[in-house]
Amino acid sequence: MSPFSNYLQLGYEHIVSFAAMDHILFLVVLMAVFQSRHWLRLIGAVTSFTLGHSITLSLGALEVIRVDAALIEFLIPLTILLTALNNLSKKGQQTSGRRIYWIAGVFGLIHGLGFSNYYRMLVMGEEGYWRALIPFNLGVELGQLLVVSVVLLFMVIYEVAFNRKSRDWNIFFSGAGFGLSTVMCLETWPF
Amino acid sequence: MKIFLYPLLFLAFIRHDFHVSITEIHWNEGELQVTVRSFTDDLDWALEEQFGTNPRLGTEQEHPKAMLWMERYLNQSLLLEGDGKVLKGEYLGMESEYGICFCFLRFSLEAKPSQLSVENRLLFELFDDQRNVIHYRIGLDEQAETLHRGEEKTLFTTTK
Repeated sequence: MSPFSNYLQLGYEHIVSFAAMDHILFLVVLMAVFQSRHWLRLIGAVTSFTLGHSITLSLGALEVIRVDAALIEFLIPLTILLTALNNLSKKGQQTSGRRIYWIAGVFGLIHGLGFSNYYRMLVMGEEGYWRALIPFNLGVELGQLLVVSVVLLFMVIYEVAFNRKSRDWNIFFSGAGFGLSTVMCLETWPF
Repeated sequence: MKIFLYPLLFLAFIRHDFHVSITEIHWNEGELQVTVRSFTDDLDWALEEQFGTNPRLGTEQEHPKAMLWMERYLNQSLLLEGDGKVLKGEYLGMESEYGICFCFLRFSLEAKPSQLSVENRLLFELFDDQRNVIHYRIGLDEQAETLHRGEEKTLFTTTK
């Protein structure tokens, strides 16, 4: 295998795995507030999240920024918890504004720091930093695209095929995300 | 009721931690230079499991036998064959910084191997999600493979 394909695969597996549960959960909660007919806005929010985590993944691995891993492990479930709460607020449910993009982008920055620990291990002490960054990031995005597509498909089925309200979907998944992330926050409490 | 709760809690308890090591193999004038990098705490744990004492690698309290244990552990976990012949590795030492351990080895060879088989079972006994990435560089040719439990060996072929 070429190093390119190998890094691509590692990035992909880093998202599509049981250990990446927190990132997947964040995506599910972030998407929950949208109606499936506003899928373009939804893609916008996911793209904003992607931009955020790509920035910190790159910077974190370059050691431009260094944040305590234990703190990041706590902040990641906190982003899920706050997003779930936002989904219940009146302002949060108005998905036409910029608010949701900002939330996705800023929380993306935090998730990227989580990836960067892994990435740093992969490239440490090597000349291949830039060479590996593109395929690894691309692998992460491909994995994320798969997750987003599957979730969106289920949202459409629920709303269109079963003719149910997107509000119910939001309450169900924001509630689940809130519950799980609360336990995760307590588990990773660093203070 | 509890039955429904367990899967939820199980999900929540999973940390986003990961288990990975990188092995770089370079051909350089009659020898294969090998660097293995891995998380120090994982290696501490592996050596403790096997030799009964935590070696505290890279710290001031490092166990006097740590070097010997590390050498034995690497010898049994990392096996190289050049053109079908088992290669004998020479352990050169290790460094640990920021929680990551770098181990250095050398395998002497008379000629550039056209086929190199690498078996790397490092930490497979501890973690079922352990990934061991192998990078092989010979001249301008570079190849990479990722090994995991169940797929513990790979073969690199170089033309010429």
